[in-house]
Amino acid sequence: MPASSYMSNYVPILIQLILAVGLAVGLVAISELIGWRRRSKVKSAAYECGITPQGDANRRFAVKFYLVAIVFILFDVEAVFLLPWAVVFRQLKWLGFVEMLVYIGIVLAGFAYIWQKGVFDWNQPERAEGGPASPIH
Amino acid sequence: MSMPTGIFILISLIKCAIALFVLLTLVAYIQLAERKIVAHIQSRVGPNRVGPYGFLQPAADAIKFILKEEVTPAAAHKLLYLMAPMISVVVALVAISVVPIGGTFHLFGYPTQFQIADINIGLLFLLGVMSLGVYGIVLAGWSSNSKYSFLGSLRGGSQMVSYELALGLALIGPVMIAGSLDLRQIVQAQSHIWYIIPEFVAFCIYLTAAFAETNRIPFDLPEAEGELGAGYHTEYSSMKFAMFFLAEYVNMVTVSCVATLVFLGGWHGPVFGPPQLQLWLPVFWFCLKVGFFLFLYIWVRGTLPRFRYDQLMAFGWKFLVPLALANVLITGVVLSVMK
Repeated sequence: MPASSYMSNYVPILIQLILAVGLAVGLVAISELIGWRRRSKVKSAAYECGITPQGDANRRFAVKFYLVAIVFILFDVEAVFLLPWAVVFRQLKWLGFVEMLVYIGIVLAGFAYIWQKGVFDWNQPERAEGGPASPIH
Repeated sequence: MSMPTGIFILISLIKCAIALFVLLTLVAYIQLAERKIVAHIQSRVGPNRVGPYGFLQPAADAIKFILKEEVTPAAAHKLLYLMAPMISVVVALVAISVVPIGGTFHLFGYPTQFQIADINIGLLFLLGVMSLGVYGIVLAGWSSNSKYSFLGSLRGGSQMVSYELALGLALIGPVMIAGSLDLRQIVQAQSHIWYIIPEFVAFCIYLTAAFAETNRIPFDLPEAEGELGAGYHTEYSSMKFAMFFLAEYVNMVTVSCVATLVFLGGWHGPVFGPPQLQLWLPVFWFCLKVGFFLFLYIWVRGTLPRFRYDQLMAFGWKFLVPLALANVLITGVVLSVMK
């Protein structure tokens, strides 16, 4: 396959994906078909150490998890930007390095701000303005 | 590549099938090894009833997983609940398809690699696919509609994204030295010196982050049994539960393979003897190094206590991420000065 040789490198991944999906479906199917089955109302309730479940489980949770997600996206974009730079690093010489220093410096300034704001301090109960401490940690 | 398409697909299919078979067997026996080794660390004997030295225990476990009852919670979101373990397993199995384990060999008269897919951005592909694993955990916890699962998946999600950052940044140093994202070229670049020596700090960061990525002790907060039942898979039973385990262990193998490829020189090692031996010795060295990392996982599990959640997040963000960035900068300075 000379013409399509680049994309053909990815064909085995597709084959592996199909086999993996087949395996996953097969595993679930085999235990659905063979497995023991005796339903009861108590058994299909959510597990709460034997106590009757109270209310819906998917309720509000601490805003810190959102903050971590947002900070992650910011820094992961940085990491993704660093990877191609790392590959061609030796061709870029000093200018490329200094430019990346400036970029990392700007990102680090944001990092310092987030740090100082206490986003990474999980042991502090965070409060809304005058509100109660958040319910779940 | 002057290989006919049919032969190419046939060879790929054979390699995929062998890889899946080896992986499933390997995962089963890592679990047995783990139970045995942890037992000996704790002065117990471990499983020894099924077969000699408990050697058939994985088979017994597999039968039990199939025969046990599948319980779906009444309040669960049925489709997502079903898909979450599948996503975990599929992602884990696809990620390992770009891992090379040795040189080139001949099959049906055509040269081919000890690797399912030889792509030139292997490391990037691996990082990308492995980070999809977080979907399995978050969806499992959310769709179960149980408080333990929900909390476990929240923790798991934020822990995995936090340490993924340190993991990715730690790998940038070696990529700078090798100048490539191709896993084969990274290994070839280490024929003189393994990157664990110039990039020792990156290696330590990678190893720590890898433990957190795979949710293993001392970072197994998403399934901390003292607080959360079984964490994100509390509501899963039977084969669906086993699939989360399968995914976790395959991920362990994958991150061990990456550690070997990027830091321990891949399949480099003394090669001697007749051609057949010269072909298989690199594969043996590779497996030996991966085996060392897998043993390390088990050893650490038998030795270290669990972190507290605030310690975990503070350690990741306040220590590992700045350290990884500093490592990138120092590597840059050293490389620029040495040139």
